[in-house]
Amino acid sequence: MKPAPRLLAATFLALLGGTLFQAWLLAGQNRDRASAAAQLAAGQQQLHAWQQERDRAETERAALEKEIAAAAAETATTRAAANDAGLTDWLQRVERLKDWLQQNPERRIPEMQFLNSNDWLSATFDNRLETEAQIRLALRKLRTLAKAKPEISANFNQALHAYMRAHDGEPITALAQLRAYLQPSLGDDILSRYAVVPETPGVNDRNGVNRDGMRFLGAGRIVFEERVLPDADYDTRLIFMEQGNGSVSVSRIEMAVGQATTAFIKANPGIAVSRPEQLLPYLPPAIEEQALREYWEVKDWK
Amino acid sequence: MEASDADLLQRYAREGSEAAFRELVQRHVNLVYGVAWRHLRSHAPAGDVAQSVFTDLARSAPSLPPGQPLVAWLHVVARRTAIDHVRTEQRRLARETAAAELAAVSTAPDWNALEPLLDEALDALDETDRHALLLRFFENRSLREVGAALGTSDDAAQKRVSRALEELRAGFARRGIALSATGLATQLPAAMVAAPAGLASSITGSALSAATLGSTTATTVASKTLAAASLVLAVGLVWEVRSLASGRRHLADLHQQTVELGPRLEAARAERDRAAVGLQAARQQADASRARNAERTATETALEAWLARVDQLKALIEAAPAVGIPEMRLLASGDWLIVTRDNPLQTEMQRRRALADLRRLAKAKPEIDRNFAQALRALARANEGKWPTGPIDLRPFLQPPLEDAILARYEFTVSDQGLVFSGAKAGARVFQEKAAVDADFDTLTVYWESGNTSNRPFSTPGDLGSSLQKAYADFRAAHPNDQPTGPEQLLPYLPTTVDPAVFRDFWEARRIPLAQ
Repeated sequence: MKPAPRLLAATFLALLGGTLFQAWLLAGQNRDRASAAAQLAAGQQQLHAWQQERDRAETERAALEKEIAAAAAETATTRAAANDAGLTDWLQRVERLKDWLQQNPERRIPEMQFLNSNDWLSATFDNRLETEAQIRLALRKLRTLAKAKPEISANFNQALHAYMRAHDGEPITALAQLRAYLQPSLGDDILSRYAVVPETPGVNDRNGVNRDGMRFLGAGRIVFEERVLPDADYDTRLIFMEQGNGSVSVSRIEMAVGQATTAFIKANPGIAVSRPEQLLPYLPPAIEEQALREYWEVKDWK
Repeated sequence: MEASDADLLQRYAREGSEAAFRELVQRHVNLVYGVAWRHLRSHAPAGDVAQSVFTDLARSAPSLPPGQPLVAWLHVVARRTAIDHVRTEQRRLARETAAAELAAVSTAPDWNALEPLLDEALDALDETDRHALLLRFFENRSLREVGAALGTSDDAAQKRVSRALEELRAGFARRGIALSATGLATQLPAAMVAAPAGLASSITGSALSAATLGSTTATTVASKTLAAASLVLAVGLVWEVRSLASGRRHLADLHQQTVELGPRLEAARAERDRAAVGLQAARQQADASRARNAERTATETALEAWLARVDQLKALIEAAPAVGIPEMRLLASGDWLIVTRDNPLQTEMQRRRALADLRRLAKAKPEIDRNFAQALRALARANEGKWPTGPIDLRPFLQPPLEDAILARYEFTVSDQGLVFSGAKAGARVFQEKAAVDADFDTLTVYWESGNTSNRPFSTPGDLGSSLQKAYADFRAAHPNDQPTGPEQLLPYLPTTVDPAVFRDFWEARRIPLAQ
């Protein structure tokens, strides 16, 4: 072949090689472009999806805020419509007490889930909730009402007796043994608030025993009781004895005031107790003067 | 030494040697031209045929088999080419007709007229004989050269030539032309036609050009194809390069958009998250608001129902004043609420229970209970232990004073039961209510001479309260470890005078807790 054709062939080959190489590059580039386009499309789709989610959330949020505002306005309207200011105040006290409990959850006990509207009204109808003592008293009342609910007190008591019947009269040695006999069953949050009391001769094996500044009434020995009281001075303690129903102790401060009153009358025959200062000399050390003064304010409240 | 035809042919075929090809044309142009002349009798066409034959030789040189006698090949090709030429121009028929007429009228044939048949007769010979005659008479070779070409001795060549002449003569004879072998030997050199001067040179150039032209044509076609393909490739390449460049820009653009999308995505996600957090908070607030509203509604509903029960109870007393006692004027609103909190007041027993609770709360008021206790102690001190004759005696010691209607409900008497905890025995002097309003539910408040106060069921034999007490005691005696949990357990221990249905209502009414 002469030089020109050879050059032509070489050119052809070079062009062919170049074309193939460029085609290879182009194919790779096309893949890259497709990948980049897909990535971009996915990103745009994601962007769109997130914007839609945001819009939906904001729309729903606006609707909810409107609903909340409407509910608040409706409440205000309802209250304004109530002609009886006393009843309105009462209802407001119920809400204040609920708010207070929400901010002080350590004062709540799980048994309070069984409270009904009447219980809240009971705890507040003659309590202005204006002082610390008044609030403590209202909460004590709520907790006492809660523990007195059939789901708690009667339930525990019946379960204890059912257990004893099934075990030759022997009481439980651990609270978990009651589980099978509780009807309705109770959660661990409630069960964990109670504990079996070991039998101690001369201490808890008879009626009318005094324990921790409180006097318990019942039959047989105390089998189990409330373990911890949210308000050690004001709260009553729920106890369960071998015989009889669940029993509620008097509170520590009531016990202390009662004992101090007895001591005062004994030391001052014919003189009635009319001021807390009269009891101070007879008060057990566990009760502070300030606690007595606060309690004095509410001691006759039910 | 002179190169053989085969050597020259090989040099041309292998190396493209123009000199070798020229030498071959020089050697054989007369033979070829002569064959053509004898057929065409015209210089120009004969020259064309000669040129065509050598052009064929130039093209076919590489493919000619080794050992092929070139002279014989040229003769055959020259004759065929000339015949083709004749056929094309329609001359051959006329010439053959003229020759036949001539042979029929003359015994001494005209050699010029026979020449056109010479090549046909030569073709009829076998190849060696034809080769020998062509070398001896048309190439004018010596017997020694002929022998060398045929690969035989001089004598053998002589014999071959002679025999070939005889065969040629016989060939003419078979066509009706009588000739002697000697005559043929004499005439054959005359058949040798010299090619025109310059023809060999012209043929060499033209043949080579024609042969090259064929090659060049093929090359050109391939080149054109290559060029076209190259052009297509080049165009494609340019397109690819442009596409790549464009693609690169597009890719960069895509990357740029993707990069720019990143912050927007981040911002959108952050906004989405913020909105979600806000929504979550709003949902919680809404849930709390709904729950609060539901609670509030429930509380308000409960309060309304509660107050309605208070009104119901008050209406009951208003409709039947005998169920009330004068102490009830001392009741506070809280007392009414306490009594009606858990009591639905739906059954007669429940209403009786509520009224009994009201009476008990009224009697427990300090204005009554503490007042009586303090007045009794003051009376005892004033009378130095002398027991009064009637409630009127208490009046000076009551603080606050109590109306006669209240005092008239009480009496000084002797207890029919003892007081367990204080050690007071039956027969002791007491101040207590004269009668119960509802003996099944009411409690009897007893003020002892010792200053103690006690409450006990106001039961009388045969009433529901007494029946319940007795049945309870009998049940416990039969089941020392059990407590009765329902009225059904006590039915076997009730007197037959007690209606079980009434007792069940009584049991349920007694179970209603009294709010504290």
